[in-house]
Amino acid sequence: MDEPRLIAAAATGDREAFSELVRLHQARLRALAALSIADRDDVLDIVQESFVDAWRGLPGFAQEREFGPWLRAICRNRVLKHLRARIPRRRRELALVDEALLEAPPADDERPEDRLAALRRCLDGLDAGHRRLLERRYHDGRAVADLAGELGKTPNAVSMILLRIKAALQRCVETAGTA
Amino acid sequence: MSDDLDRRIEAYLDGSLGAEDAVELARLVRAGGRSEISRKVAFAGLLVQSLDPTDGQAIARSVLARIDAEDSASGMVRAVQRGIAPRRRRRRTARPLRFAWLTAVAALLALGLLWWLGPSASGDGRIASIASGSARIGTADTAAGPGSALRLGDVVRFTGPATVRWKDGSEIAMDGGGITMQPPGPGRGLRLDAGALEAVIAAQPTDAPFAIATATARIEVVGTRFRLEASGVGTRCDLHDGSVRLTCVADGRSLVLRPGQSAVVADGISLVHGERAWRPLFPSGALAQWRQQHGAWSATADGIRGSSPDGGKARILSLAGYADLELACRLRITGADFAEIQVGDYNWFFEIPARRGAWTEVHLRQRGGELVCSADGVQLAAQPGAGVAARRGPLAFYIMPGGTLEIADARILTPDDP
Repeated sequence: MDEPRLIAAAATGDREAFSELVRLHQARLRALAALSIADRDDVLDIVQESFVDAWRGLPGFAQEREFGPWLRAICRNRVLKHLRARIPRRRRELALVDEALLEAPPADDERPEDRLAALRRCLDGLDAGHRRLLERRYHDGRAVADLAGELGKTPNAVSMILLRIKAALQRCVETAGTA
Repeated sequence: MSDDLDRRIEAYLDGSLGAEDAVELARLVRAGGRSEISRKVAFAGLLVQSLDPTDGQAIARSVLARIDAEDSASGMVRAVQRGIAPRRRRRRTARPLRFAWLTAVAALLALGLLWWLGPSASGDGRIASIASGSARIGTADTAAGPGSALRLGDVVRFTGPATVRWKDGSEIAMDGGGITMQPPGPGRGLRLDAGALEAVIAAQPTDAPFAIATATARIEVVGTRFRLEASGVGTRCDLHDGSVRLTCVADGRSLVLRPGQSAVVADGISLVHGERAWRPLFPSGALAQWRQQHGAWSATADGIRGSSPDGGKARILSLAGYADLELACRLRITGADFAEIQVGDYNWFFEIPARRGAWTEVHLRQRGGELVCSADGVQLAAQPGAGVAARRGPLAFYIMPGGTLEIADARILTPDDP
């Protein structure tokens, strides 16, 4: 079913149609939220809340509008609300930087989902050990000191390895973008 | 420079950023470095998502589940509202009884659903996560480690030091022992089955406080720090900061504890220590009990003031040495980004950020292996200093070159105090 029909169906309460819309747009919303939020669970919550907002707003959605930009605007609002709400709960040091970054949000990345897809491809090309290190640090949330102990290296050495891996990934993504 | 920037951004993202680095990073953002820093923050977020295997199907399921849960709760509330009859005289007694039964059942179901939704379950049912350490979950004894989800009803046994973190930043630390992820009230919380936990709880709604139950007690928390231990003889609570209400399950009596108080719940509830007497850190004439190591220090109406006439650093060091201590004071820092409170003669220190001429409430405690400090209620990271590693040592205050430090209402509590 094409998207306008999915939207029309979902607006009448068709959950299967809405589920398909979620599958079509979730990658883009995840990438959009991830531009400002590094916490995996917070991003997934914001994406979930954005889709729930969209479900509630669909009956009033004007069919001639573009669904994607409308959905992304909902997500951007959720992201800003989350960033503002967390400042009072943060340590002062972190709140200082939060406020500075919030004063002017980052320039809108036209297609962050393309960068996310490119990053996944670049990760697939990584050495298995390096990929495992990244997963343990950024997916499992292991502290650098813990990883250093397990690897028999100093925390500084592990930090440098992670920085070099990330720099290589960044170059890979930029190269993919200009290819 | 770029390595320093990357290091600072990494620390910002994992929450370990120190005061000096935070000031520098915020300055860089405002001075035109925002786009580069935002780009690095964005890359970090995309990297986390790229490592996450959650697919679109799972997200779609979680969205529909959430919609169903919200609709069910709303429906129950509407049913309860419809079931509540307007006040009028009734001649037949059977109908009011049936009406009351319907209302009670619908209300219980609505409350149950709202309570279930209360702890803000994520799409995968997670209400908290293991932040560090390892554990075993459930009768299947499933191994769990950092990042593992904890769901409603999970029985968790810790095999060593571990921390559990909720999305709002509330955290408990345990060393062995066990908990059940079953909040005893409408807000977040758990049941402490065995062992001791240290808790740092974020501010909670007053109608949904963070709550912990043991076999003999229930504790409700609205933003505070305490130690709670459950054993065969009862439950002991030591309150460090904030306010908690401790209730004895057996007789329903409760106590509101103030910082510094401890209570035990066994057959009843009783205070272990009463309110202790703080003593001033700088009583009149007390500069004689301090060594002015750098700069010039003078007494003020309610404390002391330090600065350096030649623009260098200023430091004052107590002649007395302390191991366990509790310190409360107000600081005002001008002309510098931060001041330091140093314990154990620079064994450890805390950077207290300046607040553009405003006063900052500081609370520091060293007790056993624990060393914590907060500024205006926000916990600060302890920094290792260049001193000899020993817990007992002088207390010191330090201000950076060019700065002025005022200390007011400073009081101290040590184990020798009654």
